[in-house]
Amino acid sequence: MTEQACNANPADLAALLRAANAGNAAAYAHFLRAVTPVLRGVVRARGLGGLGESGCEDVVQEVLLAIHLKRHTWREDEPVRPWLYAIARYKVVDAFRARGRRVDVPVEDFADSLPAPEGPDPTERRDVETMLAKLEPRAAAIVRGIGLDGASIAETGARFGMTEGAVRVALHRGLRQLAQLRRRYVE
Amino acid sequence: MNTDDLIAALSADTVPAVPPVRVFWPLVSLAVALSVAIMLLTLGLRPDLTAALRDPMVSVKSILPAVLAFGGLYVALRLARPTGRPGFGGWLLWLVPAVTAALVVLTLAAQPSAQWRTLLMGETMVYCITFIPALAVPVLAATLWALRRGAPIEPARAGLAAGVGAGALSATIYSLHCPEDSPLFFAAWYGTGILTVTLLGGLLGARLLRW
Repeated sequence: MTEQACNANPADLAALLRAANAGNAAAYAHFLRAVTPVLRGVVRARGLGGLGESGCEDVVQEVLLAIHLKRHTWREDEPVRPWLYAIARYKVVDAFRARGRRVDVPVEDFADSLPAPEGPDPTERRDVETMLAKLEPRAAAIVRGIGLDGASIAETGARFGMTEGAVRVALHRGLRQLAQLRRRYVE
Repeated sequence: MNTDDLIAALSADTVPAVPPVRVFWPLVSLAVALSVAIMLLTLGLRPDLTAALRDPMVSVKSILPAVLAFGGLYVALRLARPTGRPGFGGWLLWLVPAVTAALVVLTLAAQPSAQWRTLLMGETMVYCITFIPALAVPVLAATLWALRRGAPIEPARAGLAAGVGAGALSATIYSLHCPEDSPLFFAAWYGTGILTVTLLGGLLGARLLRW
């Protein structure tokens, strides 16, 4: 996966994101997995000393959530990378500021930084767990079920006695609230 | 929850997100309708509006803020995207003040200096600097609301642009009532009103447009 991610070329990323924005979940998962090592590389290059590996991974997740919630601000006729870096840069600066340290993230950093593979880090992320605990219990269970256990929308619907549409809306709201809670928590 | 799990949850969320542009102009139009209605109910149009608009030296009082409003809203919408640049809207924001300044200089040159103070102060200055910010409130609210769907990497700057747009749009609406026609008057007091809304937009943007 990582090999493939490092080599993902811009045209592929654009095609994946276009498909994702049109509602193709598989393409979207592929896109997110392809950009994560690059984001991780940028965050670690800046924050490994201060935040440690675990703290950096929290920031990576924060950036991923932001990309998710703002994916419609990408225009299909623009290249993906500048857009991606602009979002990542904003969130990384924000995340470090919220954690009490100022960083400069020159744009060149993104171009030069090597994608960092996922280390052996089986631990659960502290931040996202804190936020999940603050969600309404059913919303948290839906996000966990789909993320952690890999449940499908249909399975989740059957489990909670909800229609698939209702599960989709609940998942969407849950993720949005996660991001909002995080904002409030870090401010 | 580790990062792979988060990605699984994110990619399962296929509820389409709405880009700011899709709500921006409809919301702004609604807000303008509201501000026009308020203006008509409280102030009313100036009685000689049709004749006044036919005089280029008077209609410029409506045209300049209308162009500035378009520039401000256009820039605000552009800045709502992380890779957005002001584009040609950016220089409209400089063109309008430059033309206004030129009109002021021409007026000062054409009128005896004893008249300047009267022309500047007019008779309705208090209305002008009260109503322009007041009529801008719905437009500013609509603009910021729409921009919250975006991802501006400079929230304060996007807010300033929204403020220029809202203030200038409000000044355009107010100009349909305003009985004062001297460039000295509208440059000074429309300018004051628009600047007030601009600063308000910047302050609100810095808080509300963060994401």
